Amino acid sequence: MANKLLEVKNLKQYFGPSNNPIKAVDGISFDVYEGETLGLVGESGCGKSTTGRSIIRLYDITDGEILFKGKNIHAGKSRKELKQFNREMQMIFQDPYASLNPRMTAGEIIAEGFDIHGLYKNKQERRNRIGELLEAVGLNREHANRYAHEFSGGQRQRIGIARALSLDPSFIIADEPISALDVSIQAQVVNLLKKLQKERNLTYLFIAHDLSMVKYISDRIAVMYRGKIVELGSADEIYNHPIHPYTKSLLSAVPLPDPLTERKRQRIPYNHEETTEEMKVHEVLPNHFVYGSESQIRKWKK
Amino acid sequence: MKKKLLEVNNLQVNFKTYAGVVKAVRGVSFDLYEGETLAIVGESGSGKSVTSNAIMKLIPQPPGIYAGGEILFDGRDIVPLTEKEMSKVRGNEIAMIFQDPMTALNPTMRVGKQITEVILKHNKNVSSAEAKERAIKLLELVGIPMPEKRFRQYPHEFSGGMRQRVVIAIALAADPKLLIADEPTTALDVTIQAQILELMKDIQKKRNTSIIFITHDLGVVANVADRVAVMYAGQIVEYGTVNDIFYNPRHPYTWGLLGSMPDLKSNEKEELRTIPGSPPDLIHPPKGDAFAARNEFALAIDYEMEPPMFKVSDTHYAKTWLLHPDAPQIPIPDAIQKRIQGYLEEAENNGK
Repeated sequence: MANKLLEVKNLKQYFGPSNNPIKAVDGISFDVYEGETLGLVGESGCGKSTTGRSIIRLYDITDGEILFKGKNIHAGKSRKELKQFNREMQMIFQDPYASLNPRMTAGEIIAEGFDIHGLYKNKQERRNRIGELLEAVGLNREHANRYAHEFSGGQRQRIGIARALSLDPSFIIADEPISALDVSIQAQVVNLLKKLQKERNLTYLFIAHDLSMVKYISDRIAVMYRGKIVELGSADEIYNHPIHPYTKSLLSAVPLPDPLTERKRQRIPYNHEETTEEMKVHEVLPNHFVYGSESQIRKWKK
Repeated sequence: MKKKLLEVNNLQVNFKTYAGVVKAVRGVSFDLYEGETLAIVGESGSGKSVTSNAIMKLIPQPPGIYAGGEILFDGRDIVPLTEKEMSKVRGNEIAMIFQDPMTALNPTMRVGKQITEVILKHNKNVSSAEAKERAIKLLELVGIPMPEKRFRQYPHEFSGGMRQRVVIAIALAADPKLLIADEPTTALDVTIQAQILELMKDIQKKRNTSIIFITHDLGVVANVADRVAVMYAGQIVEYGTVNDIFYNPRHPYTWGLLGSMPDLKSNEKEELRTIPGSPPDLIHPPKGDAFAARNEFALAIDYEMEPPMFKVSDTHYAKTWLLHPDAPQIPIPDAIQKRIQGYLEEAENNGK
């Protein structure tokens, strides 16, 4: 088995007043292995984006522990350590229109990272590196001098990806990187992400609500509901043998491009059930985890 | 035979901009029968929203120009109608459901008032008490629990899915014959999307409403549509029943759209088919077939002459030179053909 790159242990992220907090993320644990893609799915408001943002230190976490390459990322750090950490972990954002500075050229946007880290002293080297990155994401070297508004949505997302790659990270958090794009462009970006992963041995945390795309790109999938991970397992396992009723309900709602099945489709509604029993994560099958109480798991497995 | 409700003939809509005239809709023709759902699919900029706004006469003039064609609603051309005449058609005859339920409602007005406003405006002889009663019935129809209480609430007290139900209730308030839904579920989660789609189908059955459903999600199309029109660069490139389009697609652009969706049912991880490049600039539409530059099966003639609509069957048409009798025979790409085969076999097995 590959090494654990990231370990999240009992992560909690609360917002608002401490006597009545909004529990955006409420005690989740998972590992991400080197070279894999972990998909994180759920409906809006389930805490999936918050999880990603907590991992990359955009929020100070309420409780729990996040270990990256064995080191706690939220522990006190010197500036130097922080910089090193920032180079290792990067993010791709959802909206390619809002996430690029309209006053900067594509080249400046990509180079900002290595200017901050002082990687290239020599102008020639710096320009070469920008060119290499642009080519890696399927753009031309000449695009470096253009501004964001001169690119289409798909091209902008490529610039966002080039920026994320500029510091040679090992781990990339992609927060709904394709949901703002057109169908045909989505496929282009997903193929690019897969290609880059192979070439550079990248590890992805892929956050999305489009289940068919998540299944396609992920090795393993975690399903989130109300701040908790309710089910986690390999992509095929989750899709073919879901156990948690919420996962089943979510899967039954995905429309397929197949009119004959669509017409007969029966949605499975999900009713949240409160129980007084102790809730915890059970390993129902090897590497297939479900959150619930003992009796619930027994019922669901039937 | 069902009654034809809407007939659009060779509709052309242009927009004047500083850069030049954008030819957003370039000769679109289709028809719609009573109680039927037509889905218009395409990428952003393909002209699908402009087409639907044109039917509602919501194109601002200027900069918009109705450059040609006619829109026959119940046999009457609505293009030359004045704004005053048109206001009688809107709501009463044709109503629209907008994409974003967050911005389609007035945040400073109680939800109930927003519905009764429409009822009172379109029925001069209804008292306000009657209007309220009807509004509550509508809220009930669209599946909002405790409608009496909800009637007095403001939009911010509703969730996204509930708000979209209110938007649908408003659209239904004057009992229109035609409902135009412009990406009504795009902003919603899949589970909520499924509920809204069920609701629309349910209402259609009860009231025999015709629906034009605009979307880019082929899964949604498969779920709701009777017939499908695929739009590209301001034109309909393929047109047929939902089964024609999904099980026997003929246009390479439709192949591209179907191929770029991963297949939830297969466990294979082959590379997704993509459509290379991006859509053409509609200020200077390319000569010949607008899709040629992105089409891996493009023929020499594609760069010279625009293809006509070729007939595949009585219900199925596609605008590509590949269907010309002299064109080389190009089969549906393997990956898509395999998937279709899988779907059909599964359907057959389930039928037994």
